[in-house]
Parts: sequence; structure tokens; C-alpha cells
Amino acid sequence: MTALRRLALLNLLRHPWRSLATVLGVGIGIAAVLTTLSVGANVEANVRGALQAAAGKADLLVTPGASGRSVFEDGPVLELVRAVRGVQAAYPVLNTRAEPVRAIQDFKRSIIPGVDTGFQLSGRVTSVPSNLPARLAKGAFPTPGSDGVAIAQGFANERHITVGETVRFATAFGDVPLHVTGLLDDRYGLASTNGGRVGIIDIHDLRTILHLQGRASYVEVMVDPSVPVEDVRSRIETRLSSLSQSLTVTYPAVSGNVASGIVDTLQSGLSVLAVTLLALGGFMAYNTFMASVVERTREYALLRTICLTRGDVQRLALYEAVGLSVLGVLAGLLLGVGLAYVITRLNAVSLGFNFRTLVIPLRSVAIASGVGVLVSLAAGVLPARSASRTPPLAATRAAEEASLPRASLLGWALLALGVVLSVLPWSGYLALAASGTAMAVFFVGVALATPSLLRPALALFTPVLTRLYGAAGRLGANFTLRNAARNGVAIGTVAVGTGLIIGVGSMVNGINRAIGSWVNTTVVGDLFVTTPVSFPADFEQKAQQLPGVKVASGVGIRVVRFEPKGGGRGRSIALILVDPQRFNPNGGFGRFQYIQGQGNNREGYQALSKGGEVLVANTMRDRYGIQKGDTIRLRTVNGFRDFPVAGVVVDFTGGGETVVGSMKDVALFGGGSPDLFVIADKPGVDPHRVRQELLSAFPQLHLDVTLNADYRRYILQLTQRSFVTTNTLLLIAVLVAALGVANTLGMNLVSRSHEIAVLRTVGMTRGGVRRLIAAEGMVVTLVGAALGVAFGLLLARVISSGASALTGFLLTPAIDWTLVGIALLASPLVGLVASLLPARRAAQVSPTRALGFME
Amino acid sequence: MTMRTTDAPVLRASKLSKSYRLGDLTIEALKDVDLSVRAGEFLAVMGPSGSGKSTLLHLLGLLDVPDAGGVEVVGQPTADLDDDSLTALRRTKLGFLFQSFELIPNLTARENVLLPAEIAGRSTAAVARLDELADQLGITDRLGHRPRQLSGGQRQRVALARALINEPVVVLADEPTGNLDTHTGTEVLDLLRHGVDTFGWTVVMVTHDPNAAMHADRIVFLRDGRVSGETLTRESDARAIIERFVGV
Repeated sequence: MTALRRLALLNLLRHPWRSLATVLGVGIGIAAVLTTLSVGANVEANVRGALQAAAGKADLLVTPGASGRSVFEDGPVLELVRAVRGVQAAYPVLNTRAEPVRAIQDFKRSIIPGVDTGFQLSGRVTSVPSNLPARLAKGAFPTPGSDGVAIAQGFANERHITVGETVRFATAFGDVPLHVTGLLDDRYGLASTNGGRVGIIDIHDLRTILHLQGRASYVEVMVDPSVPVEDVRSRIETRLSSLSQSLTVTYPAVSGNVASGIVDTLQSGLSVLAVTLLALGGFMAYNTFMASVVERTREYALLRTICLTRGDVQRLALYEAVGLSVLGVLAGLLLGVGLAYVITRLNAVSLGFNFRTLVIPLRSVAIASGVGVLVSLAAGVLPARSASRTPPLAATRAAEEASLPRASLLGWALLALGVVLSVLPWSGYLALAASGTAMAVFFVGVALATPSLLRPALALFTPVLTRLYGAAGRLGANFTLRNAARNGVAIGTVAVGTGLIIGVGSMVNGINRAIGSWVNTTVVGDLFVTTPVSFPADFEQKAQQLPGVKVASGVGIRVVRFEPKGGGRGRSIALILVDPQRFNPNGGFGRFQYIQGQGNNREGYQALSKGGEVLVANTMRDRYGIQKGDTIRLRTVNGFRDFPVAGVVVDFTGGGETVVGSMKDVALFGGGSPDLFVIADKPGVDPHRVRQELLSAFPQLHLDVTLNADYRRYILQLTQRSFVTTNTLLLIAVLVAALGVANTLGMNLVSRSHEIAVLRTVGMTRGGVRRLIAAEGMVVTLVGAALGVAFGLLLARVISSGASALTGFLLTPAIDWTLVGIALLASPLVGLVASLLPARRAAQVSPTRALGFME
Repeated sequence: MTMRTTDAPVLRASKLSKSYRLGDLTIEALKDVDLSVRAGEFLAVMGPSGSGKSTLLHLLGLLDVPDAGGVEVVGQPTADLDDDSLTALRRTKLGFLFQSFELIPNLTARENVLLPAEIAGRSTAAVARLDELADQLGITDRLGHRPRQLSGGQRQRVALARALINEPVVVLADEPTGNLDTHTGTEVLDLLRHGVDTFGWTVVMVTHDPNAAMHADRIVFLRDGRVSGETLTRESDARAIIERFVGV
């Protein structure tokens, strides 16, 4: 190792805590970037993994078009498919929801359309067990005619169900007793999906139960390994086109697209947050490098005197920066994997899918590492240059921290620029760039303007700190000003972190309020009724005959294929089919929120009543330019078809990519029964009573009847859960800011150890020294938080504009004053916590040792 | 190991002038100073505070650039050299000894001594020379220790070894005994004297201490930035001359 590199390494080891704090600061930023870049890939991988596991050995699936929920006659399809060259085998599969009766109360619906968390009975050809996507843990697969079922072992254990037991399953045709013949191994195939809420039954038995003889939900196709699967897929598709039924041949995991749509929405908004965190880490690194240069002025001067050129000194300082960069990247990648795991698990809970795998795309690693290295090297460049300019003569003088009166003016100018950038009416992606630039400029401005900011602040804080901590408090406040340049960077870090929390928090609050307003407007009706099994065809009629029920209006939820104009990639989107009468302006109890100039209630009602026309969500307009009067291309059972757009409405379901159509068109999308009924009670009737009537009238359906207030609360809770990643990253912002403060206090301590030794000599106790450092920490965080709150209030609008550009939702920030209060009240606490370690170290400074030599 | 012992000056300052600005004031730290240092000579520079002795040492050590005049090192003019060239010259031709020792705290004594040689790419030769120097200076058993584990006198000896490791033509010492007690300081001065007498070192020492100055061969006196006199210490009235010039 060359002398310079060795010196650099030794310098890093000289202050291990400082080096560690810097590495962590950079590492956390890199971890945040890596996690954010991986969020989408992880959600998609897990959802796709579930679908792949369910498909087992099947290489292809023949499904009935876009709906995926209806059934079709499988006889002609099987005959045709089995005759195709390259097909090794083909088996029908019939799926249905059917809850074990005693576990009915645990029914949950996933936030992702198409991903069902109810219990799934999968009817399969159990006479060929080798082709089943499952392994047995106990017992045997059910045989045809046995009315038997094999269920996932984990689920069975939870419900205390054993082999040989008879369990009643609730279906659309009433309760059906099935004998448990075996338990499926949860680690493999179908049993590892849907939270283990699966069971395998012979398809013939299931067809009998459901009165669906000769029908299948889809056909699984096994391809000869020596034949390219795509070739076989094309051939099957060509042959199937001769049938009257519209069928699709797909790879098993393709239906995961809807999940990625929602996550794209989340991920893009998180990117700005993550990059800001990385920048904060970089600022911290800069602070550390610069402080290190100042501390070692005499040492650099000595080295310049006896042997090093300017270039050598610059290289020495850069080697240290490189060392910290490398360590920071390594720490960041490790932390990133851990953070990605935690966030993916949290997303699994909030979005309703099973956690199966952790995916860290190499591309994400490369981007996060590259950006991290650039940021931390950039943080080291200026300090390295400053170090190289140390004149040899400085070896004969004491090092002084230069005061920069002009820098203070520049700082105020940058502060003003940051404020201006955040209040200008940016739109679209410019808003994103503006918010990032505003934060950067504001940060540098705070760092440079700190001395002039601190004086008036200290006039306010010093009496309080003196009252709190006595002389130690007063001295601590004084220390803040004397380390103004270094503390300025820490204050800037806290300010940007706080600003981010307030700004992003206001954006999230705005989203929640918008959803709340939307819910209040559109979620009308007294009761919302769902069932873990399917609604029978006569449910609406029978429900309306119940005393107290005025209207029972069905809602269908489908996943359909949408083809953007201009040849963009096809996507799966949510299709909501509603009863037009509910939205009759004269007497109907349903309402939409229309975008200005894009339709109204009357036009919307007329369009839905006519059928064949749709309303689109506002995000479809923002993302694909679809407006009232345009057409939208959707896949039906008869192939793709253009539907006229009668209006654009606000909608927060389906990740924003939603189309509203009429129940009159349900046959176009595979038919089937509604998934939800909205009940309007007769005036003056107690909804609780109506609820009881419904439960009593349809015991075999095991209805979930939710009151309006409870349903609204449920929707709002669902949307709040989707911000789990955002909230996690904001917490990380607090952590980075706290690390920055702790690091700065530690560095301040090094340059003040002589003074602290003198204080100890003249009588200050160790406790007094700790209080002194704590007081300095509190001033730094309070000033930073106050600035950050003010900045965050300004930043809220530009962050929301940027998020609007990314997500397609029209977002108006709503200041979360509770968050503002928490930020201000919690900041001294953060300062206290951040000062714990430096305070402890300061208290341990030996008076004689520190007064002895200047080393 | 010996240094050159010829009559040719190893260090020559010609008409050196240097002034500094302090706010609105211009301080003339040096004015038209001429000085020659022969090989194998021990020269002390004395003067009251503010006389310009430190400034002279800085200029002789190529740490600063004069406003007028120039410095030659072993006959090589330095006025037109760039910073890197001056650094290289310092590294190979000059050695420095400071009042505060100025050792790198996280390097051992051995590493401190070898540092200039390592930077100069002369590690191999320097390692061999180190043992000899350590023996001469009595620090052989301290080479593995860090500075904080050494006494003041030991630190200054390590610093002296560092100053000598690249076989400089002259060692420039700025108050080398200022942070040492009398006994230890005398030991260091005796070492310098011994080195000059036995190994032919050339030493220029700035000091305000007459006792320290008496270890030198010749004393040059500065007052108000100019050379105000000089004496050979072997002269019988050297002490009286010192007292007259520095008012001790």
C-alpha cells in the first residue's frame, strides 16, 4: 500500500465513530434508493410468484379472455389443444371460492383486484396426481366421486382440521360437506399461494356441486420440453380461433400486471424521497470531510512542509473520501437488502399478497451504488481541494476556523432562491426537478447563513437553556455559535429532513383528504354486502323484498385488458360495472365526482343506461390522454372493442386505472354475478335492523354486511396502509438528520476538547459537560426544525405537483398541523438523543490530558 | 553517514525582503537580509520578538516566497520554481525541526521518521539509514511507539530523525527546545552539536535562548527585520555580545 493510501486509512481509523456515522449516513441514503428501486420489482415478483406456483407444471394456460372469472365449455377446447403438436398434456381446472364454514369470519378481500384472499377450492384431475401443482404432507389426494378435499396443512392446523374429518364448505349453492382426505405441503405449489387458503378437489365432484358439468375456469397445458413454448402457444391460439368462444393462451404469471400498476404509482413517488435521503447522507459526508480538513490543518501543513505537494494532499483527502464511499456503498447495499425485505413484507400485509421472495434487481444495485459513490465522492472533492490549499506556513500557526462574512450573504441569497423555487407554480415533471433543486439550494443556504440565523435564535433559546441546564446550558448555546460553520451543515440537514417530512406529509394528507372527499361523495348507500362465495342470480330480487330494503344495487369488479391508443403496451385495468339506476340524477342514490368539463351526472347516467359506453378515472386521462368524447379500447369476450367515453371521474381504486361501465354490459366481460351489493334502506329504517334481516335471509351465503360508516373507514384504512413505504422512508429521514447532528456534535467536541478540559478543571462536573453538549444538540435541532417546518410548508405544494406528475392523480397538499406540531416538539428530543454519545465522550475528557498536548 | 563538509554555502539568502499586511498596516518583517550558511556549520539566529527571525526561517525553508531577493539551496536558485518543485526541494534537501515536534499522532515513531523518504520513493535506502539514525539519537527502542507514548525529549529526537532521514543539506530548527525542560532541551542541543561535529550536519536554529544559541558556531542577530550583528561563539566575549543585542 502506498504511503498516502496508508495514511488515508489510518486517518479514517483515527476517528472510528465519526467514520462510522458518515458511512451510515451515506449507507442509509443508498439503502433508501435501492429499496425504492426494488419495491416495484418485489411486489410484482411476489404476485407473479404466487400465480406461477398456482400454475404448477403448466407451461401455458387457456383462459376465457380478459375476465378470468367466468367458465367455459372445456370439451372442445381440450380436444383441440391435445391435438396440437408439441402439447404433452392438457387438463381442465375449475376454481371457486368456498369458505370452510367455521372459518367464515376471517374472510378478507385483497386491495389488488384479481388477487383473492378468500378460500379457493381448485377442482382438478386428481386421477393424475403427478400433474397436480401440490405435494402431500399427509394423507392422499381426493379421488373422483369421493367428495373429498385436500387442504393446505397450515390452514388445517390453524383451524384444527385433521385428515378424515368432514368440513362444511359454503358455496353459492349452499353448504357442502367434504371429507378431508389429505393435507398439502404449504411450501410447494398451490398450497403456498393465497395465504395457504386453498384446497384441491376432484374436478368432477366440484362440477357436480356447482352444477357446472363440462365447464372449466381454464385449461392447463404442459408442453413437450423439446419444443419452444411460444411456438406451441401460437399454434394453440390459431386453432382456438376456430371456436365460437373467445379464449386466450397465456403464460401463467401474466395476470400480475395489475399489481405492477399500483406499485408503479407508489414507486415513482418514492424515488424523489429516496434521492433526497441520499443527498442528505451526502451532505453529512461533506460536513465530516470538511471538518476533518479543518481539524487537520496543522497536519496538512506539516505534510506540505516536509514532503507532500498540493496534489499529494488532495489525493490523500480524496483517498479518505473513496474509503468512506466504498464502505458507505457496502453498508448501503447490506442495509438496502434488509430494508427491501422489511418493506416488501409490510407491502405484502398492506396490499394483500403472500410474501414469497425478495428480488434485488442488479440494475437497481448498480444505480444505487453508482449514485452513492458519486454523491459521497462529490462530498469529498471540495474538502480535498481545501486541504490541498493549506499553506506550509500553517504548520507554524494555530488552526483557526475562518469566518466568512460574504458566505453569510450568499447563504441568505440561496435561502431566498430556495423559497422562490418552492412557491413558483411548477407543473408536471418540472415540479419534481424544482422540489429537488429547492431542497438542495435551501440546504446550502441554511448552512452558509447559519451564523446570522443563530444569533437571533440564541437570544430566544439561551434563557430557556440556562433555566433548564444552568451555566452548562448557556455555554452550550454559546458553543453552537462558535461552531457555526459546522453546525450550519447539521442545521441544514435537520431543516431539509424536517421540510421533507412536512412537505411529503402534507402531500399524503392531501391524498387522504381527496380520497376522503371522494369516499364521502361516491360511497353512498346504507349497507355494503359481500360474500365469500358467489351471489346467486336471484339475490337482488330477494333482497329487495326484505322489509326495510329500498334498493339493492349490484357492482361487478373485473380485470380487463386495455390497449392504449398509439400502440402502447397493453395493460390490465380494473373495470367497475354498476347498475345505472343507482346513478339516476332523479332518485338514484349514487354519485360520481366529475372532472370539470368532462361530463356530469346526467350525461353519465344516460351513457350507463344506454350501455356500451364508459366513464374513465381521471388518472386514465392524465396518463393516456383519454377525455370525454374519445373511445377506449377494451378486451371483451369477442375481442378488443372501442367504447365511447362519456365522462372522466375521480376514482382511487385500482391504482387509478379504472373504467366504470354498466352491468348491462357484464356479458361482454365474461358474465358472472356481482361482487358487491349496495343497499339503500327505506327512509327512517334502522340500518342495523336491515343488516340483521339480510343475514337471516341468506344464511347459506355467509354475508359480510358493512354499514356505510364502517365501509368508508375500511377504504380509508386500506389507502393509508399503502403509504407504509413512504412513512418508512420519512422515518429514515429523521434517522439521517439525527445521525448528522450526532456526527457534528462529535466533531465539535474534538475541536473543543481543550476548552472542555479547562471547564472541568475549574469545576464543571461530568454531568455539566453532558448537559452542555445536549444543549448544543437541542439548539441545532430546534433551529433546524423551525426552518424545516417553514420550508416544508412552502415545499408541500411543489412536492404535490411533482407527485401529481408522476402518479397521474391530481393532488392538492393539505398541511398536517399535527405533524408540524410533532416535528417542532420532537426536535429537542431528537437533539437530546443525538447528543447522547458525544456528550458521554465529552464528559470523559481528562482535564490533564487535554491540557497537556495539542494532539 | 555524513553530510557535505565544504566551504561552499549550502544555503544562501540574498537581499531577502518580506512584508505582511495586517488590516491597513504593512509590516516589513524582513528587509535586505543577506545570509550564507556553510556546510557543516551550526548557525543560530537570535532576536527579540518581532525581529523577523521566524520569517527568515520560513524563507530559508522555502515555506514562503520573498517580496524581493532570493534563496539558493546548494547553489540552485529557487525564485522561479513552482510549488511542486519547491516541495520536492524541501523534501530532499531540507530538514525541519519544530518547537511542537509535529509528529503524526496515528503513526509510530518509525513510520513518522520514514514518511518523507517513503513519499520521496526512497524507502529501501531509508530503512537501512533509520537504524543508524536511531542509534545515533538513542531512540532505537522507541521506534515502535506512537508519539503519545514518548516523552518530549524522545519526540524531538524522533522529529530530528525524520528531519535527517533524506540526508538534507541543512536542518532548519524553529525553537527546538521551546517545549522541553532545561535538562531535556540541553540534551537535544547536545545532540545537534554532536551531529554537526561528528557527522557534519548543517543546522540553522532560530532561538531566543542565549544558552541554546551558545551551542552554535555562529550567531546572527536580527532586529526590526535587518541583520544587526553577528558573533562567533568561540569568541570570549560572545556572551556579552548576546546580552547587548538581545538585552538579556
